[in-house]
Amino acid sequence: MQQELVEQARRGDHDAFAALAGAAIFRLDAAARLILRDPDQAKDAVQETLVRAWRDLPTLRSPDRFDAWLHRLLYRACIDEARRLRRHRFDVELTPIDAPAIDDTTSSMVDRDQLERGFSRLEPEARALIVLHHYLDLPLPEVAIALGIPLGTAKSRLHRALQAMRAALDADARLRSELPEGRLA
Amino acid sequence: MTLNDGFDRTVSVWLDEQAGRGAPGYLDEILTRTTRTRQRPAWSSLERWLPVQTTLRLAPVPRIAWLLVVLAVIVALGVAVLAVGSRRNLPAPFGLARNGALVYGAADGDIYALDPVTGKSTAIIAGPTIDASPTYSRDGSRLAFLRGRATADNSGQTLMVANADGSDVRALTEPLVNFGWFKWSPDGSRLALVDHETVRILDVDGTTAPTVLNIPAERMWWRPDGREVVFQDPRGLYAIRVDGTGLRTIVANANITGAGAPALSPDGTEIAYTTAFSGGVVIHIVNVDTRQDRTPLFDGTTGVDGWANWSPDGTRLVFQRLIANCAAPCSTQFVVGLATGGSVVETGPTMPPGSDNDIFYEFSPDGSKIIARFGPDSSTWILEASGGPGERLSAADGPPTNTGNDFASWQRLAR
Repeated sequence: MQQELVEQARRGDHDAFAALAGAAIFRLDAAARLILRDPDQAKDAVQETLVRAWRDLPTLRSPDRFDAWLHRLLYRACIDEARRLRRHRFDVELTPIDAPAIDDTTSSMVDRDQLERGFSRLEPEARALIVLHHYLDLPLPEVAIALGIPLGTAKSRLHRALQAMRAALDADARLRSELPEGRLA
Repeated sequence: MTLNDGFDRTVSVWLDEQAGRGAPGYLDEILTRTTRTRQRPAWSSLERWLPVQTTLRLAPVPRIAWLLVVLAVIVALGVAVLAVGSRRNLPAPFGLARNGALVYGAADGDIYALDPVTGKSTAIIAGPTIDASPTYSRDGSRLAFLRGRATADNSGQTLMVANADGSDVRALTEPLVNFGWFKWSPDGSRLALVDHETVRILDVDGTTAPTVLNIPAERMWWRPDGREVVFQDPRGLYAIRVDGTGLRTIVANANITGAGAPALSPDGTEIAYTTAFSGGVVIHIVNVDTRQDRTPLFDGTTGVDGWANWSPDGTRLVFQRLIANCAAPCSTQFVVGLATGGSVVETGPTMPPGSDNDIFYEFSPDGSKIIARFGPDSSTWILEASGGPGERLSAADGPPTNTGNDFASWQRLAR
């Protein structure tokens, strides 16, 4: 069904393209927001992706590779967007005095914050790798194609990116364990 | 090669939570854009250049005809010698020139010439038609402009030419399809039209058939000798002779940011273009013939210097710089510096975030000023190339000078 829509869209059928875009836009938008950490930039990247997809669709040699090709366009658009304007973030580092109280009911919230911090510290290219593989569930060979790199390179970069996230979590965990008991936010 | 399956799973679950649910609300906006966007033809890939088509035909000339031609040239030279004293002194096609009028298409569909000194605007092409995008020839003696209302895919307008005073208006083309932009040749005898699939070179006086180059250019520039053009397509910068031969790569880089067009230096030897890298934006200057590429470093750079345009003598650049130490989104500033890098001066107001949509700027013919359009109201400013706050352009007499999608063209006069 999708392949038929791609064929029609390649021949200039805009309604067919609209159907393809409608089916893809949620995951494209979600992936872009995860990579760029900014909804406005994500919107720009997704717009750029889909406009390019429409414009260049006739040049796609294999319609069955539409999804992989679309992910590649998204990756390029996200990286271009990330580089287009440097954002100055003011990350607030939790000091021991500011750390929330440690108890069982708050631990899951702390983990999410730590994941957020670890993830946000990664470069956009590394975030894109993690998002393509762990959110869009693309097999690593397809991730490699989307990024235009060899499979081995994709594997090692993904490993390093996850290591970096894990290191950030471990560092925060050590910080918590050093808190004197009874210190509250 | 995994850290541990547990952590991978944690990351996946967390990403899924972060992604949220619900489709974004801007699909219609995208589809509106795509309906206005033409698809590229299936063959449009640099790996699959089609043979260049030219409709210019050279027929063999009999000897007697050559003798007549020689005789005619001798007579013409004699007439020229007699007439030279009465000819208007015209500026050379490149380099410094004297500032003339500013011509622009106003919101009422007429074309006006504005004296930037007095602020007086005069309608030079008026009437019931919609006329826009006027551009002076390099010698300042003629105008090219678009007549008619464009459809969503930039079709339907006709390319027109006229004398600089608005007289002798005539059509040069049929209604255009998916039109991109046009450019006067250095000697003012031809116009090149770009429509993303071809570059069409038209003789302004209609004495020779047009030449069509099958190249998917987005923008193009004439080299000073008029025999070669430089063009940009999504994959980089290239050059080709106007007879369709000699296609060559100057910069193979798909990361040339399109926020501002690359700019060919006045002497045609270098192109200033902008690329993005991790954490910033940088200006490159590449030699068109040797392909040697350099990145001049400007004092006080914030890591985002880009989208440069040349002074008419080719020694300076005006470009945009992101304000340092700002919280996103950041403001930008016009900056002028030597093309070799080093010290810079700021000119004009600081542009708040969002001002750089529809932005356009270039030096005046004498190099002392910069005309710029920016801001949410697309206002036009005259800035001093030596620095300072600049001045918003207003007409002392005539229509407002907010030219919307148009941009004023500055007439070059002999010094």
